[in-house]
Amino acid sequence: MNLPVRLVGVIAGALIVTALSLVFASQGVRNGPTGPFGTVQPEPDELLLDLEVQAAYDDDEIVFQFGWDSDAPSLYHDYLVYEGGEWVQYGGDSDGSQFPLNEDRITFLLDDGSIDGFEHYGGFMTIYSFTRYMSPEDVEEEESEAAIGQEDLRKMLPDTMQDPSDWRTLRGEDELADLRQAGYFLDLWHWRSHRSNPIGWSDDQFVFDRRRSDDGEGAASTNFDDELEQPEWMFDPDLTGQHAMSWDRIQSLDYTMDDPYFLSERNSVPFDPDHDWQEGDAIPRRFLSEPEGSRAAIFSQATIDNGRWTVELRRALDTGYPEDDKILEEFGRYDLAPAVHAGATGGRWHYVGMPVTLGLGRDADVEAVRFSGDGPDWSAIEPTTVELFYPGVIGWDYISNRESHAGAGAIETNDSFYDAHTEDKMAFYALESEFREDIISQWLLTTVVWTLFILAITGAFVPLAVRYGRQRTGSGTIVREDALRAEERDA
Amino acid sequence: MNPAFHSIVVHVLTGTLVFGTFAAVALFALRFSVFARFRYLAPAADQAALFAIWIGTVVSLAGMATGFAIHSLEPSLNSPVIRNKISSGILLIVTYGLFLFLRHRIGPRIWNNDLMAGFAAFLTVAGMHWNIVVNSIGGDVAGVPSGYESLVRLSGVETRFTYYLPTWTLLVIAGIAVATLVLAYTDRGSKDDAQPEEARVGEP
Repeated sequence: MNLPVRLVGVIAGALIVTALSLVFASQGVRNGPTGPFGTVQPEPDELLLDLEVQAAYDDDEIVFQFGWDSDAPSLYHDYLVYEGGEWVQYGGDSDGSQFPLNEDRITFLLDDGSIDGFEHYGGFMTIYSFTRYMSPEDVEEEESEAAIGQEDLRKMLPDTMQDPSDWRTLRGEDELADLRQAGYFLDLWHWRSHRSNPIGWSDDQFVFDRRRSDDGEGAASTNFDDELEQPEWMFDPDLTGQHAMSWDRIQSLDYTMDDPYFLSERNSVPFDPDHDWQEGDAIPRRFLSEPEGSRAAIFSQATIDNGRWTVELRRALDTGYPEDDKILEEFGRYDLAPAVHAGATGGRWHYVGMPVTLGLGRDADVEAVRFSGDGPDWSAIEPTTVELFYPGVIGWDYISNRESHAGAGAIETNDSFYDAHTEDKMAFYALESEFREDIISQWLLTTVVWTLFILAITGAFVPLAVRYGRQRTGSGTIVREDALRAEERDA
Repeated sequence: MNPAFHSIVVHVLTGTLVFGTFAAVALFALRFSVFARFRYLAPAADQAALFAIWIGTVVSLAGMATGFAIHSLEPSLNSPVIRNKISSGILLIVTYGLFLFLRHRIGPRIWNNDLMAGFAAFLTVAGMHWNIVVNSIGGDVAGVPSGYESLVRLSGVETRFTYYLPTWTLLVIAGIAVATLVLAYTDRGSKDDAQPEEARVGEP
């Protein structure tokens, strides 16, 4: 069949548009607007992370072992670097933009059934649109300080507020005290690769009306004298072979866990301003000392092997602090929601997992096995793999609101997360949540343009096809003349 | 609204549109000699396609209405899955709507022109493609993921993202649309020139 050039042109136009559209079919948000925070977003193949969890217990203690792979495990946090005769602070940003200056972390929330819905929705119950980093503009420090006595708004539980969509409705002190005494809080195990692990501890916190630290002293303090504008401590050269670390080696991830990459009371001496400091000398901005009180309840040890973290955490079943920690018992079943900070991120730029059940000698997703002796034989305990995902800026006030979330009704009836979502889909939703408004307008525009294109290509093709198409008549006809006439007669 | 109503409506429209699409494709296939002996069925197939696609398209509008009755507009627009469903649902209705428009505008003669018959059949197949896409995204059978979505993703379409194009691409598409219209409506060729006698099929 010989097609005229114009008809070929129209068909070619349709094919070009189809091919062009298919090119973007798997690109999604990568070709969309830039992020509202001006930060680097995870690539689509970086949205998921597998975490292996094992648990064991004896009469006194529970022990967890976590394992996950990391492209570039970070032991570093923030540093004071000698530049032009001054000590300049580096690190502190949460979004990964100052790689590798933010320690790797594993955390998990633990509940004993006191928080309705936690077993299905996990850490999403603690995050809101007003939580820090969740919108381009955080709530002003002065405003939150004046209203509820908090400098910034971190994790909160819904029932600590009279209206869970408004942080200004935080309950009064007496009500909060009663709630906490009744067990309405989440235990937060918070392992930090730089600010506690080097001296053998994990931080111990809990989530209630905010993210609070357990009673006592934490492991990390700030190593900087504001008046003298210099560090307070430096490395003990006799013990560590150095006065300071090398900024270049930090940036190239050259230090290992066997090197002095942290500063503690065991490897430091008071800072000597008269030392011949060189450009690029770097001193950790955190000083580690033994934690105290309830906050010192979790012990840790960790290794990195070929980019894989293995972290062991150990705590008494009953810490003696029932308003800070969830007290665990043999044959008890609990809910555990883990999260991992990787790639030098902090804040919300992490991977989170939906809750799994933890059973002590009882059937559960993670079954803690009884051990005897000094410690468990991990090789004999089957690990549970939890798929973690990037959570974006999806908060509890958004997902529990029928005006914003199609699944809010399911949340009211406490349906499972898995009734409507999977981890991988949730990660994509989460990524889009950071661009929601922009994406909706671009999606609408795309739908309109495609609809108009289909109408236009039809409008172009039909007159040419009628003119140049091979017309069948007589014995070659498809619909016979009598049928045509019958319809014309009916018409 | 109970989501079951939407599900029922979707099953009805899918069944009728599959039937209509099959009839339209069969009408196109009748021009090949291997199927020539079935040409006596053409008027019936034409009426069947018309009837089924009318029913299916109208019920598609009902499907969209019952879909929005489950969730109101804002939460629907906030969901990537529902956004993709809305897009493909609109394209489904547009393509089948175009088929109906052309069939009524040109009449049954549409099947006697090879290019137009091919285009009409293509429209129904394209509509069925959108039907498969809209039903596959987030689709499940009795609460269990159907797996069709995985097939759609295997074909290269990432249904977990909202499907949208960058502005420059939309401008290119708009430019191509205008160019094709210009090509078509500046054509000065005559029908007689275009269809030489030897190109006609059959005896007058």
